Amino acid sequence: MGELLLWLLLIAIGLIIVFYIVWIIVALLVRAFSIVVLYWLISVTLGAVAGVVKGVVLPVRVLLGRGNAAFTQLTPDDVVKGKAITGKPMGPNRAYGWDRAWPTYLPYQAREDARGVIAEGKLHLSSVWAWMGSRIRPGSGASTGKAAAKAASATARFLVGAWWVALLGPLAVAYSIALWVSIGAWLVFMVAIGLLTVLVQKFILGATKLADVIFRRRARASLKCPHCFGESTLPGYHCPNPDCTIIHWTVLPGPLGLLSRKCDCGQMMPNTVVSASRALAPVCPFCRVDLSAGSGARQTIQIPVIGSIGAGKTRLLDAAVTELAGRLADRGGRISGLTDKASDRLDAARLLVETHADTVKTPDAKAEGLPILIELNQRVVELQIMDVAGEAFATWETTSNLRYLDIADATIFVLDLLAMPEVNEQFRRSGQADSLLLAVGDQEETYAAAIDRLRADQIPIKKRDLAVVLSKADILTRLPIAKSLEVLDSSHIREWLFANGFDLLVSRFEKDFRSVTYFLTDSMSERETSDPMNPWWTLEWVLRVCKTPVVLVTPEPELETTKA
Amino acid sequence: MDTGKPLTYTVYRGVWSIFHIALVGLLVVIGMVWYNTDHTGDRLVTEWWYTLWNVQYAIANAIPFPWGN
Repeated sequence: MGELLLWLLLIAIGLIIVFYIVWIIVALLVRAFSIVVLYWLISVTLGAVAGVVKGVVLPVRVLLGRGNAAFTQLTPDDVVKGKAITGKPMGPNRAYGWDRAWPTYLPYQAREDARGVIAEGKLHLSSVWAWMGSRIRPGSGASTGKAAAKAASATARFLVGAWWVALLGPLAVAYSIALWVSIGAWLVFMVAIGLLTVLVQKFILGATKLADVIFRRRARASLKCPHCFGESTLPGYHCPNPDCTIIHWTVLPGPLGLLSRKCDCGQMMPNTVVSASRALAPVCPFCRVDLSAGSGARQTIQIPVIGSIGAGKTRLLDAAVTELAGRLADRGGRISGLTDKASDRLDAARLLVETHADTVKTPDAKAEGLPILIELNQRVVELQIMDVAGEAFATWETTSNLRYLDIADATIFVLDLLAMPEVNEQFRRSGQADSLLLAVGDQEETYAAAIDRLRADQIPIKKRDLAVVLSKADILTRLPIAKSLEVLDSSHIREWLFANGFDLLVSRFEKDFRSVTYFLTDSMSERETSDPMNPWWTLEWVLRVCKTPVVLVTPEPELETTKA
Repeated sequence: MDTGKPLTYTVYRGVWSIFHIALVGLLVVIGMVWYNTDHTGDRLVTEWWYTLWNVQYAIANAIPFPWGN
């Protein structure tokens, strides 16, 4: 019994000792843990500060090109492939897509830079956590050996890992969170300032674009291709670098620049039509043929002349242009060919008129405009001489090739009355019939082939003006039928036509067009500039109808026009 | 980053970084001024330091030693 009590007493004492030992151990562990907590609080604070500082430095490193993450630098190739700019370009040449040029920094490259900063942050933290992971799992240990040794190794690894987690975990978590907060603040700042800058940029872009459009509208500027007869307000432009073959189709303020843009080849170039026209070579957006310098930024007038073979179209144009050159020279202006062909034509016309030589029949070839530039008082207008053979007006099919007729504000119809039955009889009796080439074929049919085709194509000719030019006045006025023909103004000529059997033709003209002005011209003789029979008045009428800035007659001549 | 990029890219990035550093510098200056005004910073650090030690003390004394009482 006594022995039992002794054992019980010893067990109780043992339990009490164990209890106190456990208590002391736990109390010691709690004190040790309190030190760990203190370390955690300090390390979290230091980690957060380090994260914030890194978040300040990291975007700067990326923007300076010293980041390690994959970074998208947009290029003109991305622009062309539609990777940089969403949506299609604006403007009449949008079918060509985006031009091969660098996009503006804001917002396109700035967006990629922001993505680059985020990618750099991710890469940096992944390397931090990968290093952490390598500390926590420092290797798989020996793969052979006894089970007990393996278990001991695993335990050791666990304890080492736990130690590193306890030591670095809170630090890394605080660092990561602070880094993202810092980068987030940078992003918010970037977006806010970026949006503000984009708004300012949009305002400048709109103002620049508007100024460009207003300037061109006021100047009635447009591109009229002398080759394909397409009309546009926006030419394409060759890159000014002679080694570069890139054509820029939408040279307007936009995603590729405000006042200037940078071509893929690295060449800077202007970015408005007005400024581009001063420095770059234009290209027709329809047929891609190179145009004369300045096309698209000035008023271009094609002079469409309709008439039968031998009606006197070529002579009228040659005489009128030569007279115009003289008139311009008198006023300090000048006329010049914009192509070699046009210059040659001006020279040939002057020679022809000065020597009173006969005009050679225009060959029946593909129609092509000859661009000439008239300059007066720093104002410029491009005229395109559209001189085609009379064969081109034979049928609807042939006139359908003359697309310049579709867009002409002013049309000239050359009528050779000497070939009309009402006059021809007297002309033949005058004895001059053998020395003069008369219009061939039915001239009313010629007129109809051109005008009826326009009407069939729903071209609004009723909103346009027509000049009817009675050619070969030097002969006509000598015939008895023309005794009563007074060339004072258009209405007198109209009355004479009405009274001499051309009433149906006059009615037809006036039914087709908004207004009709009649001219009687002598393209063979030298006449005073003020003489109404001087052919230059026809050209003056074209310039006036087209409201050109080049004014050659002040006040306007009293050539009374018949309103339909 | 590719070579040949427009100068505006470099200018924008440079200006962006300068703005960023300037803003951070401004915040640091504001923080330092605030820190030194009426010993606010001293108080803050001291309070934070005491809080740390109070937490440590509270945990450490959560379980007293048997002879502690």
